[in-house]
Amino acid sequence: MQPPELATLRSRYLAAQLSGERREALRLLIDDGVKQGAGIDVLRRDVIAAAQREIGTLWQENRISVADEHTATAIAHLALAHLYQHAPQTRRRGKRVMVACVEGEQHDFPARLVTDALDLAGYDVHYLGANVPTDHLIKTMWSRPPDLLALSVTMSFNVASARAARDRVRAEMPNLKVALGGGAFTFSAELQAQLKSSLTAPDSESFVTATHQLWGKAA
Amino acid sequence: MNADLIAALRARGAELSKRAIAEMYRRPFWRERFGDRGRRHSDDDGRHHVSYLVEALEAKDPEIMRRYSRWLQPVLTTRGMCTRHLDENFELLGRVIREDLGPADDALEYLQAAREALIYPDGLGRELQLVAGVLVKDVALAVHVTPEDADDLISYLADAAALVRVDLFAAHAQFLDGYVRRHTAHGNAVGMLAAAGAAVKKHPGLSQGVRGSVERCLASALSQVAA
Repeated sequence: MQPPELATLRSRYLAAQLSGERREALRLLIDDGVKQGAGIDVLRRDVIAAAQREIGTLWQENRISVADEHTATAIAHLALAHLYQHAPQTRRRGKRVMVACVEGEQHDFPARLVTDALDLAGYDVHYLGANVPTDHLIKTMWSRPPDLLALSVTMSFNVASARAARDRVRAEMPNLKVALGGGAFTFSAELQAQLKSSLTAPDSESFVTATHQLWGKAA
Repeated sequence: MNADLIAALRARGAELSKRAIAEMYRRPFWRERFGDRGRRHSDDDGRHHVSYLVEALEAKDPEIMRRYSRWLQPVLTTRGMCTRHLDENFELLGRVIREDLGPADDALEYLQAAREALIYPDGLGRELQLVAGVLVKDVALAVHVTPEDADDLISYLADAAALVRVDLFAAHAQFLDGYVRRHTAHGNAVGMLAAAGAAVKKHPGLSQGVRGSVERCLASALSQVAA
């Protein structure tokens, strides 16, 4: 699918989101996306995730309300689930990744994007969702030890929680690889290096590629 | 030591930001324009300012404050405030931190970085911001107006130019008219708007783009005030 066609699809999908038209949003992704040859990863990145960024800007500029933003984001979650069902499943890779938003972090959409991308790429993903208290994160890690922990931080004021979680994990599981990512790191180019994230990536698809490289696996 | 400063800000940041907001709210403009709900939002914003400041200090990266400031600017200027209000909030927060926690050089440096980031990088808004001091002086010479009201007026004009949102300036003018009538003996918005228009016309260095933007804002504002 060519960029102009994707741009049109994104525009129509966004309009459906903002109108609260769930079925139309899903129909567009399948009929005007999948059935026209667009890859699932392309639709996730260039339609759904791109539309979410646009929604963020619209709220920032007071062109949509908080309620509109919540409606649209709920549709985005539904859209991801819908595309998941249409995606070809790949062979399992025998590695488990735990994905969680740090304590206090309510913005779970980026973590959801990464979760689905990893799952569709063959990883077993244990997704804990938004605002995971650090104590509970550690307990869960002991009960179901992952091979990689991915922590998501969108708001900069939650970086302190990321530091705390990272420090606890390092103290209790020093050999576990910990990836830190999310919008908070776009505010500071230095922060991921400072926090010694095991891998860095600007989006969910790049994160999957970086995860493959972590274990020397081919894509 | 920054570790001590960071610990102090974590422990007392909410209280310090509340004092800065309380200082702002001594001006009746705030209560009358935004009410109790606005005060609660202001207190929330103040806590966020401190949170971002703490993270910037932890990361030793003032860019966090610059990006936060630039992100927050349209959030507030499209919701009834002007850039000068955010600038004032950062300034007052710095003052309160200095009064209570001592020199706090890094915190003040990072807050200053946030204030400087509020200057638009280019465009009509920047043009107006860079000559704001001169325009404010001319307005104050022409009409009886408080320094804050004059500063705000030019800041709202700059924001409207930057955002291409005539309606935002018109909304401020409509509120301003009632406000100056309540708080000054002979003030009214029409006089202030005319003075702002004259100041912009008089300034030799402003582009046609800026003059056109200001004209449109003032025309829309005058129609609201006269209505």
